[in-house]
Amino acid sequence: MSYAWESAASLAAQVRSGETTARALTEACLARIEAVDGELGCFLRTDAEGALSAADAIDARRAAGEELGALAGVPVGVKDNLCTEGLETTAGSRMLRGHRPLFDASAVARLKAADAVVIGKLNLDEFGMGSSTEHGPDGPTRNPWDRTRVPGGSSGGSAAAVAGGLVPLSLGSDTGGSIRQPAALCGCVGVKPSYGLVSRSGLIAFASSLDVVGPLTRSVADAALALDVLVGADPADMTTHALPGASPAPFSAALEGASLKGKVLGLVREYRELTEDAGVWSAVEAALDAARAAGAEVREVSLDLTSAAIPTYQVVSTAEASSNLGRYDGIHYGHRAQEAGDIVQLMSRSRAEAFGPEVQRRILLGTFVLSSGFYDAYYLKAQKVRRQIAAAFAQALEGVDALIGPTSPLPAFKLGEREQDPLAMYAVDVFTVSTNLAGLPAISLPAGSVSPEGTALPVGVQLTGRRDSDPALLALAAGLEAALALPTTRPAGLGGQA
Amino acid sequence: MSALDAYELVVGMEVHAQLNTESKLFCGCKVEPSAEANTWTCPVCLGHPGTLPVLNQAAFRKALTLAVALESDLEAATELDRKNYYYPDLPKNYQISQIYHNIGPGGTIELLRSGQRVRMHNVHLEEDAGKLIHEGGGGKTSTVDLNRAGTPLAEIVTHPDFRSVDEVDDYMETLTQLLRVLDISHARMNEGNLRFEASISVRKHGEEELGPRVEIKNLNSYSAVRRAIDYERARQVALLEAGLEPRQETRLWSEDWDPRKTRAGAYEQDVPAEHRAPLEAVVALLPPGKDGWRGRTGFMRSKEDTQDYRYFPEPDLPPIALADEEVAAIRGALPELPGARRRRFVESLELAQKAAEVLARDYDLADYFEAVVAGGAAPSEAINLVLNQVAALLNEKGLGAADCPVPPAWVAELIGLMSELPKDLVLKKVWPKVIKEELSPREVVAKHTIEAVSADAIREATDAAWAANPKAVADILAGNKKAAGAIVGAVMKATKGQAGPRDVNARIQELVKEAQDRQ
Repeated sequence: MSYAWESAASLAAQVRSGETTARALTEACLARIEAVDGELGCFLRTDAEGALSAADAIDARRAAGEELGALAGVPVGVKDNLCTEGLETTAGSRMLRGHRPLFDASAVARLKAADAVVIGKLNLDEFGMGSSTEHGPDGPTRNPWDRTRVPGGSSGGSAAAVAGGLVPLSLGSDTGGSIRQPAALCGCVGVKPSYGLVSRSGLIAFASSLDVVGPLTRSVADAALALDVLVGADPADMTTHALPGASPAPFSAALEGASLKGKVLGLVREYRELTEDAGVWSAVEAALDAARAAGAEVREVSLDLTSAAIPTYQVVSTAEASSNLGRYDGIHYGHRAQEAGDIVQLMSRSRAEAFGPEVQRRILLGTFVLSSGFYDAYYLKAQKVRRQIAAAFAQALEGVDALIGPTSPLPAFKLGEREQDPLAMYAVDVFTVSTNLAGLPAISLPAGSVSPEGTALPVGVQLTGRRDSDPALLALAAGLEAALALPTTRPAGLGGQA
Repeated sequence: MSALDAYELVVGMEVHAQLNTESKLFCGCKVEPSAEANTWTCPVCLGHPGTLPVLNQAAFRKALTLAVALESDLEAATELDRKNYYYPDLPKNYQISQIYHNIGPGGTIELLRSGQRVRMHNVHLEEDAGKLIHEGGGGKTSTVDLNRAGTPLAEIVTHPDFRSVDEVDDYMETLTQLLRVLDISHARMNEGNLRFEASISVRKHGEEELGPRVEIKNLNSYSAVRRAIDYERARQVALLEAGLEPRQETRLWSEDWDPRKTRAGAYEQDVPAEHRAPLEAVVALLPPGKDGWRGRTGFMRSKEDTQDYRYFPEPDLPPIALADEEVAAIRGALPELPGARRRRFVESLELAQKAAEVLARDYDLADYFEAVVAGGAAPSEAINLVLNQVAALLNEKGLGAADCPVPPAWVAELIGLMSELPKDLVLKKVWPKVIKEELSPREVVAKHTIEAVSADAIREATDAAWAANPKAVADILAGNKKAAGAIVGAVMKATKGQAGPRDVNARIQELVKEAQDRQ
């Protein structure tokens, strides 16, 4: 039977009750990937052997009477910038082709400890640098709703795999919107937790002070289920901390009886003008109407540093990236140039050969903004603006429960459409980067669709909350999800009803 | 006045001290640089993708203890920074170090010998790199050993406050002792625990402005530091005397080079031919080393070649707040520091400067000494016993003062005995038995009934020996002083060794005089 569109919560319950087995779920998942992923290009590789043996171990433990974890037997896909022990992890780069990590990323280890089954690794923009998942050495991932369009990025494989019914849950990473924007473009739920709540250990770093690991799912409830597993302090990542005052499953608990009644949503005034697609703004307004009908109050608030967010993000993220990617030099591991006269040539040729143009562009930019004589003008100034952005968010959040607006200024664009214009590509992150700069939690959830060429394309709405108020934010999102009560639709041609 | 004397030497020191922690600065790997290559490594110190540094709290505390001991102007929080540069022995191609908010900005140190105070520029914490091993035989292969990669270092930087090699020497000794006393580093230079770099310039006496500083690297022993400074000073003076300005640059010390034995043509490119003779002349004014003059500095890189390290705050490690209570607790637990201890020994215990220096250098021996004084001995007597008898005993047994088999109380008792018995008797008869029989001095005296022989008894015994040894007497009177030994030996035998040899000799002299008077 097909489990393709079932929720993670339901699958786990069925495995725990014995209604099905982890092996059955794993086999069905692998078969579905085999059947439809040729068209989507979500998975860079699957690990049938590892997944089946993990599933069998889970089934054996159940047979022995053991209590199984919250994600019992649930097949999950992992963005390929998260290390998986013994399973090739390339971050979508030629540089790391063949790299088999010696350890699991903490987020992956936590999923496994909750008895999830890692099916394989998902496509992304190289090292997470991009918004379209189309330039990788392994080819593009396609949007399940329209295969001529991008799934967004950089967690495009993670979003498309969930939206396409390949897995109910995937892991992504979000440096400037890389979970939320593809979630919006593919019509699924994507959560960027508060900075420091989910360990970055084993996440191949792009920009350390901005990178966050989070889940993509088809419902807010499944996201909460995953976050109950993922969130927590990790001794391997000194930037993590425990969720303040956390109970055992704070996210699922927060969702119980969640309602919008009496909640206040802050509509960010400046977002209207920055939204390229009128249909996207209409979908946001429809979501606001639904929220009001469910008893929420909507207030207009101002977040006037929004336009400064992208340049600030460009300076901070490229500076950190230029340093983080310094280790890939062909000396100790990774791609090594075959013809080099000396050590300098060996390093520079290895890097020139294996890094794609976007990665090289960002390394150059980051090297420049950190260089002597420019550090104060760029990096220090960006850090100052970053603090102002955080303060502006704190002010905008005063008296409201969450900020609301579109996740992306436009729906999924055509493959290759923005390829030649990096600035246009960076602009799609306009609503997402500032939450990374401020370290705040944000969630994108489906809010209807637009049909520019007759094909329905999903639109996402983003909620942003106070730092470390993630369970409350998920509860709000669940309330909005219920208020919207979107009809269940599936992408055409991937099985299930269209 | 020589050319050298016309200029003032100005030196600042940078020291990398390897902290004596069990594990590396950012991972759990053991610090074992001498182990087989690449056996103490893990994904973190290999810089594998996805790894994050986790700060070793013990290393942090040691560096903070050093900062507190150096009276640093601590900030409310300290931060780590990334220093970016590409080198095959640096797995991440950046070093986690500090520059913007050092663990110990400023501070001072009181030198052990002179008591002079030197201003510190800063103390900061950083990780060491691995080691590149270049295969010999002109081969093009180099290998990398990353056992050392990630080893915790404290970098200790002074202001340019040194005006002589002696002051630098005093500083190196003080710092070495300080690191050991604080249990921060083994501070063994021959094991690479300590690496010194000197920044050297010269200026005419009375000038305010500092000359361009030359940084000397590759100083692998205390003696290399001293000789490199001497040489570099001469080189700069020679340049200035020739009307040239020394350049700001980094130079390498090379050990096996003797300008007096090398043809002028062997000078490298940065000493122009016309200045080689003047340099030789100035070098000749330098104090010669033990094995004659050896070693010189050679050009490594100019100021223009200095790398842009693109420092920025390490985003993987949050700032570390320095709690007042924690700092106060560290300060409260500091032992007495070398400079202060030497000062107290000189001022309160009225010890000679040299003895106080020696004691302040060996803390355990100084503790032992203080215990002897606490046992009631006069410091002036205690110091003699400790630096002679006790030191000899420790040396013979190969033990440190903390493991001395003779407790300090017994040494104090021994000193007390010296007011009752002849000193020679105590040192030659009692002390060896204290060691051998592990008995207190008074127990030794009681057991072996050691007692002082009265002056009359000595006189009697000496006279008897004199009378009984006519041949020896004849020899003595003939001018053979050694012949007195026979008389002394006879007296010792008669008194069972309890006569003071000095008293016996004094009586012999009287007898000699009497005999001569009779002639």
